[in-house]
Amino acid sequence: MQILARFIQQHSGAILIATILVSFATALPLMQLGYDDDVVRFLPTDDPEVQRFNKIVRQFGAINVALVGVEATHLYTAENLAYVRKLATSLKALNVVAHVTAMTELAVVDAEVAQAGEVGESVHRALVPSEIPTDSDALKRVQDGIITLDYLVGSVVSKDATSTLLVVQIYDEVDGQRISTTSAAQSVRKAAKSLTRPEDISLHFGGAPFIAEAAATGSQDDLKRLAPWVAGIIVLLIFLSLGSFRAAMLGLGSVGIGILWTLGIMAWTGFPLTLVSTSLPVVLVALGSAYAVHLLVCYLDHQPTVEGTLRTVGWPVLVAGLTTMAGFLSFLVMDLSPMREFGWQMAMGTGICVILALFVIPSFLYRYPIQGTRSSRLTKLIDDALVATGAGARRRRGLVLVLLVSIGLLFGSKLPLIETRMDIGSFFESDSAPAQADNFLTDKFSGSVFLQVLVEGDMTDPSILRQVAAFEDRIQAVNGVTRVESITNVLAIINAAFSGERRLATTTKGIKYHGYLGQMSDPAVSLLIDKNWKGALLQIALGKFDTSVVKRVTEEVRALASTSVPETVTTVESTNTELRAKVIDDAAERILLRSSAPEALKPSLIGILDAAGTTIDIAEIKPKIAKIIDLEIGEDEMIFVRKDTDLQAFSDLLSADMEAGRFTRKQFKTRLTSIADPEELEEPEAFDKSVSYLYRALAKLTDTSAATPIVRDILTLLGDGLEEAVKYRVSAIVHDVLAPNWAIDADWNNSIGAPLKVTVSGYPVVQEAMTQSVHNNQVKSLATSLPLVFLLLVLLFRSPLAGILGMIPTGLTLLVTFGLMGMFPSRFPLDIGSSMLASIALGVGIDYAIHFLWRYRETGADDAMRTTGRAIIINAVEITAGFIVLAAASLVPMSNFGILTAVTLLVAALATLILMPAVVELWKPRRQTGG
Amino acid sequence: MRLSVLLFFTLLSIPTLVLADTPLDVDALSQTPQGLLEALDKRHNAYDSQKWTFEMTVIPVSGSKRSMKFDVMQKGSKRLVRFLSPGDVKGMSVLSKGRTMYVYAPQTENVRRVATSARRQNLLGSNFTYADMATVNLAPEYNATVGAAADDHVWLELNKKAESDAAWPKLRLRINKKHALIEVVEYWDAGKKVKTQHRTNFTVVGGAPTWKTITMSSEGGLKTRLEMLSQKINEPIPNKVFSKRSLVRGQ
Repeated sequence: MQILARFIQQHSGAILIATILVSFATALPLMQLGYDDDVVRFLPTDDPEVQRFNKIVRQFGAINVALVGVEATHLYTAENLAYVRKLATSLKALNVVAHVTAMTELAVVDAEVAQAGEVGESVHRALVPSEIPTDSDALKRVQDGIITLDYLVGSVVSKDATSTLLVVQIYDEVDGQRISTTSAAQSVRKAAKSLTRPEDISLHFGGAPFIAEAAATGSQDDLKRLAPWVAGIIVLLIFLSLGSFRAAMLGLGSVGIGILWTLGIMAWTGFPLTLVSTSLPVVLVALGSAYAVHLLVCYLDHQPTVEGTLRTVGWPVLVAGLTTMAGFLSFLVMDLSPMREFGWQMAMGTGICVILALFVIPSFLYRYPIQGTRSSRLTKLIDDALVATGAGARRRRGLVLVLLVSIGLLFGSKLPLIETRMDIGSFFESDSAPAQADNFLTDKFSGSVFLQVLVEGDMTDPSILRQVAAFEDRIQAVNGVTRVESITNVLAIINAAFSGERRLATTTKGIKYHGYLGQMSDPAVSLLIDKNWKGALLQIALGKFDTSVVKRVTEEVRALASTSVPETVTTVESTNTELRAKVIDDAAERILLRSSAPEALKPSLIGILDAAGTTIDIAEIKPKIAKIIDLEIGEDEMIFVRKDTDLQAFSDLLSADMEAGRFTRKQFKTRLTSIADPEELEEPEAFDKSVSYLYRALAKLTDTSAATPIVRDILTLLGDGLEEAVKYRVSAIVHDVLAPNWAIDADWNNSIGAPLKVTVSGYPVVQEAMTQSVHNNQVKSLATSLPLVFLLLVLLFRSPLAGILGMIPTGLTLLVTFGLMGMFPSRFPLDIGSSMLASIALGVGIDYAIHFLWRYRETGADDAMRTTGRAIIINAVEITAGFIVLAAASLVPMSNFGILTAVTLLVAALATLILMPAVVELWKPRRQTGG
Repeated sequence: MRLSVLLFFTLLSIPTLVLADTPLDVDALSQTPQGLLEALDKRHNAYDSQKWTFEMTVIPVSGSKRSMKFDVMQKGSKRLVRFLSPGDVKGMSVLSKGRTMYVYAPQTENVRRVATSARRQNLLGSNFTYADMATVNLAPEYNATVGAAADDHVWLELNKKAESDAAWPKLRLRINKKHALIEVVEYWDAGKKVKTQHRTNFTVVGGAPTWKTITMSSEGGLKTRLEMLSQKINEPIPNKVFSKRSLVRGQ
């Protein structure tokens, strides 16, 4: 240290100029310091959850969906509907937006007509007419026309007619550049807020992009708002304790420069800030200022020369810095990449703060000496109190040790109760805007949290799709699932638009056709089916983010995937009597699940399904046959008939055929040929097409007729109050049972079938994996850093006993801090902020211990208390007071971080100043001076 | 996330590109803007029958392009669109007879009659809406005023008539003086421009001057290009083509 002191004396000017130049050089690239909000990057790429998630992203592209909720006292007014339309148009125009699904942009097939199963007639209508009506009756009709659509209520519009949801699909990249979720959400929010909205309308911004945006902007706003207070309080307390404003500014200034250099180097080397490293400046203030404070206290109070100061505290500052760096470098064993980056960045920042404390502060003090309050009454009082505390602790060593063990046991026993929560949804207080938006989305719609289940197989195969739909039946019944969106539902609705039957088409051609139309018409379909139709994505809404719900639902869905989804699917004719019982049992089970009916109804359900034959109610369908014949042949001239043809008699003939069970295509063609104009038969191919078309329309009547009584009986059995969607599904399941072919597990008949594979993933699952990973990494990091620091202490003091003594403040601080989190798990969970506490506890505890032991080794316990003690108190009080300000932060982790850091510093200081004097004399080192 | 059934039937009433080869004095006609608009309408529909083949390419901001081919036949107020490719929609046909419309899908052997109420719906993922494709005559729907003019063009500003049910409240047309053709159409809604249609590649086919390419660009970045592959004028088209029976029979 004498060499260093001489060097500083000779080159102080150059050191200060170099410091200024480096500061400018590092400030320049600071503008390029980015922010990486990609949560998935937290986990290693070989993590199974990340691999599953990335597979889905690769297959489906952007699955990032922002939700803009519009809430009004009454939504269906001309002004409000016009506003929603304008909002949708504005959001669509943004270059980060791939698609907007909004009530004002949708058109549907008139449900009433489609449901009736009539032939040839349906009305496509826009949900909200292009010319929005102004009279109340017409507006009421618009409202009724929307709220009666079961598949829109709860997903696009609310049941209570107050709210609507705009689903905004955000691009992953534009022009080859990855789009930050945060900035995309900001664009959407800005565009929405820039529109003048009617007085009674309020907007809610939900979904992962807005949560990420709120977390990022919230932490930045908190820091902007509170950082001046933190800095001001720290400066004030250093000034009060050192008696010099210049010394206070010098202390804090050196840390400020340290932060500038660290961030500058990060920007220069291309490492953006992450959710973790945004805390780097505050953690550096907590740890880095201690080096400057120790140096300044020593300079002002005890060694008012640069050489004397460096000789006294230079080595402990250096060694304390090195051990703290070692603690942070232990982060390199973590498998969370942003945590690893944070580890080396903090180690670098700590190193820079140590260098600044050892080079720049002495250089400044050499050129511009500061006079301190060397022997003020306050400092003397503190010194005397510290010496007395040390002496008291030594005298009552037994009591202190009992206290140590008791505290250790008390807080240690709470460690298993710590809750780990990494979901950024938990960042916000219950009255914050993001939390309120989440409440809105859960109350009025299905929530904002979605699991994604990838089902791989040939999705153009009707039998595969039927198995996917069956899987959904079971998922819908899982407690915690609020809604399931899937391609099967979309295809069924499209089919209803064309055929009046809300169930999947029965042919590959039909499936492909409906799918193509769906994809071309609504780009949002790409969220449910991949381009090649080799994978379907089930979007499972879970309401609000709740770690326990996510974990349980994920496990249950995975269990369902392995037990109820066949690995291979095949079809068998429904005349197969061996499999009939199995098929009916499976159908009955799914009907019970979808309708939440009691298990006791299962035998009755099986009875109804088993008794189902192909008997038709001819009285019911006879008028329909006549209507089809009249419309298609009489009016639309699907075939030209002989002039003397009696169409009523012809339809009666067909009715008789149906009743007798001889209504086949061949028979029908024969009948048609008998009434067709001879010219028709000259174009046999064209005639055949007309035959097919008419036969299909009529055959549908017999299918419907056979299914209708069964569906009716089942719905009666299940009772009133079933949702429309459930009724449709029950009908579809019954039709599947009555179909000529069944889609079954190929294992049922030991045949070879088409493969099917299920993967469960999604943001909530990744977040859950991250939670587990943070927990594991915390343990892993401490398991690495504690032995490493112990080894350094042993080597430094050449005594295993000194090593053990040096670990006491750290150990107790870790126990108390984490024990406190175990005591109040819901208030202080282990989250992204508090996961930094172990490193702070370690760094501060070791720093204090090293300074104390070093001084003790040189001049004994009393002097150690007098000199090092006051520096520890100043440092602890300044940081505690400064960080307690963060308790006022709007983000929960930031607030908790402030409180817990304050506690950590206090505990570390008390542990050092009470415990160390009591036990330090167990170590009898040979007295040394200097370094 | 919400997916909903949309209006995926397609009424591709193609904006008529074929123009009667009668020269117009745009400068003179622009003294009476409504007269100019009527004259332009007249130029568009001066044939007994028209038949085209188009290739439509949808170019999204992100993701791959998609192309479709279709034939359009028109006679009086009747129009039939039949898709030729891709395979998944091949044969799908849309028949428009006045305000009545049928959609036929050979894949499901099904014909549905649909009303023409949802005119702002985009067609098959493109940014052409029914209204854009179906509107043939603008003069009955809009009041025209003359906007800015230059040596080679003049702007017409069209505002929807009170009694009209046209989908767009305001259009701006740029008239090319040399060819006496509309070369740019801007679509305005709620005071904002929503999209712009550019017509390029002037040519004369079968004696009829026309644009071969139409590009529709949305403010959000989505583009759709219509390329006219062939055009036939006044070829005899039997009336029976425009029937439900012919839809089903693919005739």
